Amino acid sequence: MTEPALKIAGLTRSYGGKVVVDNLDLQVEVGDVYGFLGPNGAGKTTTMRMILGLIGRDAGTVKLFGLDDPIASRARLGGIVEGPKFYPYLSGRENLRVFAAYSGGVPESRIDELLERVRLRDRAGDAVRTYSLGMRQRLGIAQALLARPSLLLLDEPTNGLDPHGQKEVRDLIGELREAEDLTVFISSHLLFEIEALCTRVGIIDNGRKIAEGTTEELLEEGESLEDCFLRLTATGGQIR
Amino acid sequence: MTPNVGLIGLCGAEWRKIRGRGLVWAVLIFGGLHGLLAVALLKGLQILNDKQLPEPVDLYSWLEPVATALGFAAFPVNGFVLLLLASIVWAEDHSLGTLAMIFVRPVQRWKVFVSKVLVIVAVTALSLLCAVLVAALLGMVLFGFSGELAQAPPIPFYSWMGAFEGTGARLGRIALGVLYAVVVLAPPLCVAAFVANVSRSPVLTLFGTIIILLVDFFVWAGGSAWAGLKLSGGETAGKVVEWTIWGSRRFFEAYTLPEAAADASWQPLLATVGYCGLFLGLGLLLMSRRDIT
Repeated sequence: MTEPALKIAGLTRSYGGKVVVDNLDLQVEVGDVYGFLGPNGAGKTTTMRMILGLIGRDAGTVKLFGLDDPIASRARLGGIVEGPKFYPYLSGRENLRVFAAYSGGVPESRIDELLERVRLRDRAGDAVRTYSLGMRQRLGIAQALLARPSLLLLDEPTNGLDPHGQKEVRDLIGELREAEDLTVFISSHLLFEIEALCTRVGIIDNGRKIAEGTTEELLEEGESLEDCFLRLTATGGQIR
Repeated sequence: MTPNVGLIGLCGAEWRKIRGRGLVWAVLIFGGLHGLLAVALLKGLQILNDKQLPEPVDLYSWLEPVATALGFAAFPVNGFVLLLLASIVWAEDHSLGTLAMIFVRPVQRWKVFVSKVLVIVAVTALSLLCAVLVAALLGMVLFGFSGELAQAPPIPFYSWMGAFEGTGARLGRIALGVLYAVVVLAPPLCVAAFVANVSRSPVLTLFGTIIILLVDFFVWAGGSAWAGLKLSGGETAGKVVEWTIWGSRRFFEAYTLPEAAADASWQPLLATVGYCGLFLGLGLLLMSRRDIT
């Protein structure tokens, strides 16, 4: 039996007595493009930080491909939380070389391949401080894919981009998913983005999962994902 | 399969960052300037001496500027520039947010910490070697290979060389001096490791470390004055100042002493190693345990 790409059970985290993520269970199957939806402050980014091992958890387990060893599981994971961050004085290529070292080394040919895939080869030698937000987002996706991960976690990947930039990043995620055989976990509050990209959706509010399923399962007849989301968050997850 | 993320690769990544910032060249050039300063100082002394003596005497060989340059480069002025570099190495990944991009990878946090320590130590040693190299090259050109050091007036930083006979013995001591200088410059850089992991900002790291070092300096200066004036408790004050960071700088002077006298260097060495261990340990604990937000 194939292990799920990501399995979260009873995940809990509080800050100063306020429970931000409350006993959360999620499961992402291999090959899924999983949309992680929730209003601002719902606990999406905190959940992603716990999955990526950036912050501790009060309770619960996170298993990636059946592994709960953080170092071993991170070898199969690529991710960006709250936008990609780079060394602005280094070129795009040099940034990728730096991050490659933290993945145990990546051949130069892989860096070339990724720069080509994210359409940054022509600008690879330029300092990142000269890049537009969209270019940084694409470079961020390239750095997340350096070590050929099986699961890609993206936290609001189109945040702050103009409509052209948003479409470009969405198309890129679709292309890379095919080319790199990826399972993708995307958090967003942009509902049309989730609708366009995802095969399964999980919705959280106040740190709790209020719905999960394919878009077909969640939507009522004639309903858009936006209507569904507003209905679910208003009723605390009571599906009519 | 979990990749083996080696320390050499991680040090390479740290090196790329500081090289990209232009910091390596800045530190090396600043180190080299100490060599230039040492040569200029001794040349000036030689000229003054020539005017006072009825016949000019060749006082210095190329070794004296080297020893002088090393003395200058181990001084807190160079330490400040190295502290600037260390503040950036320790805290920039926090302030840029790149630490979150690093720690999502299959790398242990302690390895990232150790790679930063190794790169800072390497750059410190390179800075000292640059001072030594510039002084050696210019010294050979300006002072040649022999000199009558015994006739030179006693001046700090090189007069100790009279205690060692022969070029080989003097050169050996200078090589040892590079190691001693790295050790004596280390505590402030280790304090920066702790402050960086508390403040997560290069600027706060720099100023926070300076404040800690200034407090230490005033404890040393106050304690020394107290002990010197032989006031009540002066003996205790004298003992306390020996265990300050500033007081433990005495360790550097030990390399200029003959073997028998150098035994006295164990206490400042212990204090130096103790401070390094304490602040590096706290820094590592914070980097390993704190949330990356």
